[in-house]
Amino acid sequence: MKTIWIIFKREIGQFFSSAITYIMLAIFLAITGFLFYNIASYFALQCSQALQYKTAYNVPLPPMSANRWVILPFFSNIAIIALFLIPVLTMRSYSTERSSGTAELLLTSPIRTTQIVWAKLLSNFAIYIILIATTIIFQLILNYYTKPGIDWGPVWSGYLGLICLGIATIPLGQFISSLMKNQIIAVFISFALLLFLWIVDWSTLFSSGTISSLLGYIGLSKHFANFAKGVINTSDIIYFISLATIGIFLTHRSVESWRWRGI
Amino acid sequence: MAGIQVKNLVKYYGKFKALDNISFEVEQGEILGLLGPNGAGKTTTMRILTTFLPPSDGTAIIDGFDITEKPSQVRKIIGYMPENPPLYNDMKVCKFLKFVAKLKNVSSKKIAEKLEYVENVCKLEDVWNNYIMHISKGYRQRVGFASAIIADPAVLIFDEPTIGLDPKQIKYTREIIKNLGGDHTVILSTHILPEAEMTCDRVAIINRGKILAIGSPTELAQKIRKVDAVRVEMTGPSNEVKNTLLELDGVIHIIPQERHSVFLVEFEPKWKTREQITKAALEHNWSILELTPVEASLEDVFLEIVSTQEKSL
Repeated sequence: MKTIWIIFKREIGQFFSSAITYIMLAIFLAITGFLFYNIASYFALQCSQALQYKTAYNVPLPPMSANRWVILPFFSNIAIIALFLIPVLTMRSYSTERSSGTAELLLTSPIRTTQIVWAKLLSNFAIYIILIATTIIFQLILNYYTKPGIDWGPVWSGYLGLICLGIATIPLGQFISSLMKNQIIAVFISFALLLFLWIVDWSTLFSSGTISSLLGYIGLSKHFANFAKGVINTSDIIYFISLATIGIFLTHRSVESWRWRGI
Repeated sequence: MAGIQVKNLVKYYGKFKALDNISFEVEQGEILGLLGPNGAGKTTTMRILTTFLPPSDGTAIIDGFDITEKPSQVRKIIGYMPENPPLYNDMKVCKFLKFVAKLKNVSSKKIAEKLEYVENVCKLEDVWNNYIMHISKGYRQRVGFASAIIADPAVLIFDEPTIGLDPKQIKYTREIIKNLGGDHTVILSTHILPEAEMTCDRVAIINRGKILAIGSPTELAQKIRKVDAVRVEMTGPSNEVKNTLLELDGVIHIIPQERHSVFLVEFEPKWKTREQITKAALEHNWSILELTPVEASLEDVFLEIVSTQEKSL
């Protein structure tokens, strides 16, 4: 545990001493802010139109839910941006250790591979949580301007969904990083992999059968969508945790293989 | 049992045999130099000893622990400095060394003391608070050296420790390594012959994955010396001197040197040639200005041994 903490602190320190982290945070906030502004403006327009209808034709006001019109699409958008960010977050974790030779230090120090894997996983996850947490400010703004305020239940389940998304995809990105010496190649392959997992269940739209339903199950987006709607299923949580387990196992194997394959 | 026993190490990279049945022993407190040309297998040997690479066959026992069976125990007692020191460029020198000390289980009470020790020994005061990416090659080398010795391990392994240093630093680093011997078992690799001669108690000459000779620098020199040689300068006319020397028993060659009155006389070791030379000088009434035995240097030994192997291949 102590060793994990030592390596974790170093990894976090590396993140905050690197420009990429700040650029990533800035881009993330800019894009999510832009999306939030547009979605919320559209919602405001819908609300004012509904009011006009009510006064003009004296019809009852349709239910205008900020959760339905703003938060749900907003979470789907954050999830897509997270798919872009996670590869950037994970790309350097192992590939730079290999290309700069520092893997030699880690592998000849009295520490276990498991400790390296967990420390790197937790450090990337911590940064991811920080990124995600910044978007709470948009929920607060929305809550301030709506009456009687937003329903916080689906908001928290949406965040739980984003956390699960991170838990499932960060290990996969780190696994790709452990295979590559070049971080640029790592970022592209990780991104391709995550994008594939996000869209793979589209195939269920046009076909049916065992393979199709299997692909439907391994798709990320459907499992995440349940969380964003405020529905927490055990099966979705099991899905994300299984994906994480596979990723962690593969990363561990891959780092172990450095020892006999050479760096 | 302390020290290092290397037993029949074999290492393949694909089909290429990098190490071919290497065996040697290092006593506790001894400094062993691995001497060989580039690509001889020095780094591979060291990487196997530090458990960074597994051997294809054979093993080594370090301080009683088998590197293939108890690698985690071995990692606790070794300090390793690879040829390119593994440093995190985005860290400050002091932060990096603190990180390494913690990684190597230096207790939190002792960390400050150890940091001060390596700062002084490795002369890192000037760059102590600099980022590693901004320091020069020589300093990087010294930080790498500091990270190897910071946890005070029983066994130290240095891969080309003086590469990239200026002459003054080279001299200083050699002195540090020499001082580390005695308390520590040290293996260092080099392709610089005087370095091996100066710092090491024993030298193993390695080429093409094989150990060709092992022993103290003097032992190795004696081993290959087939002829003895002396430098002679006498006051007589040089032609006459040369002819007189040629007539002596056991003389093989007379090689004229930089000045015409100086000769290098090579002779078979069993003849007491120096005594003969003195007698001959007395007979001719010449004065001897110089009569120096010339010993084979490690360089001669190295070239001789390596070229013999290359010829036989």
